[in-house]
Amino acid sequence: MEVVCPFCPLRCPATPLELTDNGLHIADDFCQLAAVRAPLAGQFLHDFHSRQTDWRDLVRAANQLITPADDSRRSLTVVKGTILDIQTARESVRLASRLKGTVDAFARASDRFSRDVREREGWVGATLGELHSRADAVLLIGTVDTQWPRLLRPGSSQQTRSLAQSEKRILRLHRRDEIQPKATVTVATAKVANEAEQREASIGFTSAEHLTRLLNEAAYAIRSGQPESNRLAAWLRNTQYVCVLCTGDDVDLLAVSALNRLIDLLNETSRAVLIPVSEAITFQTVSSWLTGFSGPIDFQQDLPRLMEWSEEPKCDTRIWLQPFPDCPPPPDDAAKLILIGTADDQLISRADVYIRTAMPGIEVQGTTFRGDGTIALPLSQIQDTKLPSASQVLEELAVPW
Amino acid sequence: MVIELVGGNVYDPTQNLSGEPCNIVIQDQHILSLTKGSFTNGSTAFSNSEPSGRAYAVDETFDLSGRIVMAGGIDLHTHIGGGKANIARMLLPELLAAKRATTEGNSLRDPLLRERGDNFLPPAPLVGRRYLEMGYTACFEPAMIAANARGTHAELADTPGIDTGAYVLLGNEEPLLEMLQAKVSQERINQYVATMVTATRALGVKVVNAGGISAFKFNARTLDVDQPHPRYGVTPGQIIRTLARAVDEIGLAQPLHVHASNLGVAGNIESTLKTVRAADGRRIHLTHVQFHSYGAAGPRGFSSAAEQIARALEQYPNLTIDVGQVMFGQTVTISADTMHQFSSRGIAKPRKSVILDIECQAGCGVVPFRYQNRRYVNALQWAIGLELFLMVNDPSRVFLTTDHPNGGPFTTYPHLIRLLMDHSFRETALAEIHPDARASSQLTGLDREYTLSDIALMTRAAPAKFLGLERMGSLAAGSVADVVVYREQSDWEKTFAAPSHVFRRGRLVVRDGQMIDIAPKVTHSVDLDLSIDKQATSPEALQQVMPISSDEMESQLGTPLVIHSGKNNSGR
Repeated sequence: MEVVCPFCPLRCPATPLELTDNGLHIADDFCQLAAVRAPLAGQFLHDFHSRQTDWRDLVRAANQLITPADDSRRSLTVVKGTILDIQTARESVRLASRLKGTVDAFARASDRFSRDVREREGWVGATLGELHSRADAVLLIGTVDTQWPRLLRPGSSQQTRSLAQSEKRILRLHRRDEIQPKATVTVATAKVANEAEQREASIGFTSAEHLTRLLNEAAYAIRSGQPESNRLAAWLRNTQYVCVLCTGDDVDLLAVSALNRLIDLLNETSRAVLIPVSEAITFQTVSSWLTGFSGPIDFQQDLPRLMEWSEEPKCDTRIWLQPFPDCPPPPDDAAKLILIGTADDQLISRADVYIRTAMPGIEVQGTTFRGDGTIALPLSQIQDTKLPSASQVLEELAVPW
Repeated sequence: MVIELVGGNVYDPTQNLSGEPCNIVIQDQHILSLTKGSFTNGSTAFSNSEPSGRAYAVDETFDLSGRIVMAGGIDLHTHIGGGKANIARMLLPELLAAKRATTEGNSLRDPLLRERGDNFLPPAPLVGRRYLEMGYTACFEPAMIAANARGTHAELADTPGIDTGAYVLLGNEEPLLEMLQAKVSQERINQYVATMVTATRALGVKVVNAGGISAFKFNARTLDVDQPHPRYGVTPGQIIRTLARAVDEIGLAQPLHVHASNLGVAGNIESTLKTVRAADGRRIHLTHVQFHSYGAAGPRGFSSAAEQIARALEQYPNLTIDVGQVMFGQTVTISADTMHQFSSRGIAKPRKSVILDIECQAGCGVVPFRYQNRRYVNALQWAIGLELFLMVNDPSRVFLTTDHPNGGPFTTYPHLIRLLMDHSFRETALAEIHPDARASSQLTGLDREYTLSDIALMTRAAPAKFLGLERMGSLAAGSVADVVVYREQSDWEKTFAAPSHVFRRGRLVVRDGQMIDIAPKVTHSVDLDLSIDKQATSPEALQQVMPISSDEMESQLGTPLVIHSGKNNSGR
C-alpha cells in the first residue's frame, strides 16, 4: 500500500508500507529511518493493553485527575507531546482552553532557535518541492540528510520532476568530527578551488561560533565583491537557486541569524532559500489559526497568550501525546501523567492513566502538514484496530463542565 | 421551526425591493415566503398562510418595524485561510498579542471565541465571529494553493458560523507552464483546470501575477503582460487568455479571478489594461484593482488611474472588479505574488518579512505595513479606491473588499460603507489626508452617495450571482435563511457595525451586535458537468494534489460540502 509516511516530517507521499502477519514493514532501500520505525510501531498493532478497559472508562479516570485552574486553586494542566495531525492539534488547543492550561508541541532546541530568528528577522524560504525540482545547489548544515534519509531523493515531495537536477551540487557544513578529517577545510580564507566545481564538497567547523564566523566571512567576501577569497562564498557564487537546510543541532541563535543574513544577501543577485523542517509545524500552524500564536500557549487568563519558551513548565498534571512508541517521552517529574498514544511498558508504568490510541497514518486517518509547512497531506488508515484516535480522546476530556 | 420577521424595510435587489415593509417567514434553514406589507398579531404562535395558501404555525415573531433588512453579506475576496495568514501570525506575534479581555460574548462557552480587542489579523474563530457580527454570512478565500488545499479547508472549517469556500491558484505551476510551452490543446488544459478545481474542492480559479511567481524563482524581478517567461517562454497574457477560456469552457459560474502583473507599481495601469485585453473578450474578474490603478503622472510620478478602470468597465462588459480599498492603520500584506512582495520588503513596518517559494506551484510573501493618511502614496491609494467605487456606475460589477488584510482588515467595512454613503463624512476624511494626494485626486468632485439598495446589491445580490450561489444573497422564497437586520443609528458606520439581529440558516446567532449562538456551516465547492469524460482526470493535476473526497472534507477537515454544478447551478 502506498501511503503518506507518518514516520518523519518529510511525509514522503508514496511510501510502500506493508502490513503482513509479521507486522508493519517497508523496503530497507526505500528509507532507512522508516525501515526502523515501521516495525517498531508494528509491534503495537496487536497490543491490547488498554482495550482490556473501555477507553471511555479511562477518560473518566483521566478526568478525575484534571482540575481546571481557578483563582482559589491554581492547578495547572499542560497538554504537550508529539502532535502529527491537524485533528489532534485542534483538540489539544481546545482542551487546553477548556482547562485554562497550557499547550505546545514537543520541539527540539534547534526549532526554537530557528523560530526565534524567523520571528525577529523574517526569512526567505521555500518548500521541499523547490529543493527537488528547482534547485541547482544545496547547502546542508549539520547532519540533515542523515537525520532524514530521503531528503535529497526525488519523490519525497509531490512536485513535477521535469526540472529535477539529477545531480545537484551539494556543500556540507559539518562538525569536524562528523566526517573524515581529510574531507574538511576549515580555513575560511581558502582560495577558490576546483572543489567548488565538484558535485559534493564539504567544509568543517568546530563549534557554533566557528560556524557563525564562516557564514559571516562568506557574506563579507560577497559584499566586498571578492567571493573568490572565501571558499563558501566562491561555491555560492556559482549557484542560481540554492536551498539551505539545517538540522540546528550544531547552531545557536547567532549562527541562524548569520545564515539568514547570508541568504538575504544572496537574493540581491540570485536566488537562495532556507527550508526549515520541523515535526512541530502541524501543531504550530493549527495553533496559529485557532489562537493567533504558534505556541506555547497559556490560557490561564481565559484568553490565549503566547508564553516564553521554556524547557518544560511546572504543572500539576501533564497530558502527554505519544503517537508512536519512540517519540520523545515526557519529563520524569512529580506531575500526574495522562499518557495518550502508544508507549512501551516502562513509560506506561510511569503514567497515572494510559489511553492507547490509534497511531496516525497507520491505525487512523488524518491530515498532516509536511515538516516544511504549507503542504497539507492525508494520512491513511492501514489497519482498523477500532482504537479511538487521540483527537477523540482529547475531545472527551474535561467535557462537560 | 417557523420564524416570522414582520414589517422590516427590505432591501433586496433580486426582488426589486428598496425599503418596502415586508414580512419574511423562515422555516428551518430556508425562507418560506417574502410578502409585502406589515402585519402581525403579536403572538408567538399563531396560524397564518404562505401565498400558496398552505398553513403554518409560527414559533416566534420578531417585530422589525423601521429596521433595515437585507440578506446575509458575502465577501468574495478575503484572505482568511490558506497558510499565508498563519505565516504572518508566526512572523508578528508581538503585534497580535491579546489586548484585553472583556465580558462581551461570554455567553459563548468557547474561550477561543472570546473578544480580545481589535487587531488586523484575528485568528479563525474570531474571523467567523466578527464577520457574523457585521452581518456577513459567507466569505471566500481567494488564493488556495493546490498542495495546501487540505490545510486551507481545515482552517476555514475552524472559522465558525459563516459559509466558506476557496479559489484554487493556477498560472504559476510547472505542469501548466510546461503544457503551455508545449502548446497542448485547449481541451487538455480544460481537463487540467477542471481536475484541479474538483480535486481541491475549490469554487473558482484565481491567477496571481501570471507566470511572475514562477519567473521570480528563475531570478526574474519583473514580468509584464507581454513579456516571455525566462524558462518557459510563455507570456502572462497567454496564461490569462488560456485560463479564462478554460474557466468558461468547463462551466464555472464565475470568471477567472486575475491578480494582474506589476501590483503596486507606479504606472501599472498599462499592465492592467493589457491584462483586460489579453482575455480576448472572455469574462475576467480583476481583484483588488485599486493596487493596479496607478498612473505615473505628476511631480511625484504616482497618480490615479481610477477613471481609466471605470472606462474599461464600460468598454468591456466581460469585466468585473473588486476594489481592495486601503484603510489607514497597521496591517500586514500577504500575497502569493512573491515577485512583488520581495520588492516591497524595504518598506516593511516593522522591518521584517517572509518570502516563500512553494512547491513549484506558487509562493507566499508576507510584508507588514502601516498605511498613513499623511503619506502621499498611501493617501492617494485610499483616494483611488474610493474613486473606483464612486466612478463605476453599476454596483453589481464592483465589489466591496479591502483584500483583507492587504488594504486593511475586514473589520473596517462599516467605516468604508459610511465613506461611500455619506459625502460629508468623506469630505471630512479627505481633508485630513496628505494635501498633495488630495489635490491630485478627483474625489472632491465626486458627490455620489451609495444608497442602501446599492449596498445590498454590491455586498449581497451581486456577489451571490457572480459566485453562482443562487440561493444566497436574496430573501426570495426558497433562499437560504441568512437574514440581517440593522437598526438605523446616528451614522452608517454604527448601523453596519452592529446588526440588531442576524439569522443564520434560520437560527438567531447575533443579537444587538453580539454573537449568541453558532449555526452549522458549509463549504461551497463545484462539481463540473464537463463535456469531457468526467472520469478522465488530468495526470498533470494529480501530480500536484491528492484529491479530497466529500467524506474527507466532513470527517477529517471539518465541514460538509455544498456542491454546486457550475453554470446555471443551484446548491444541493
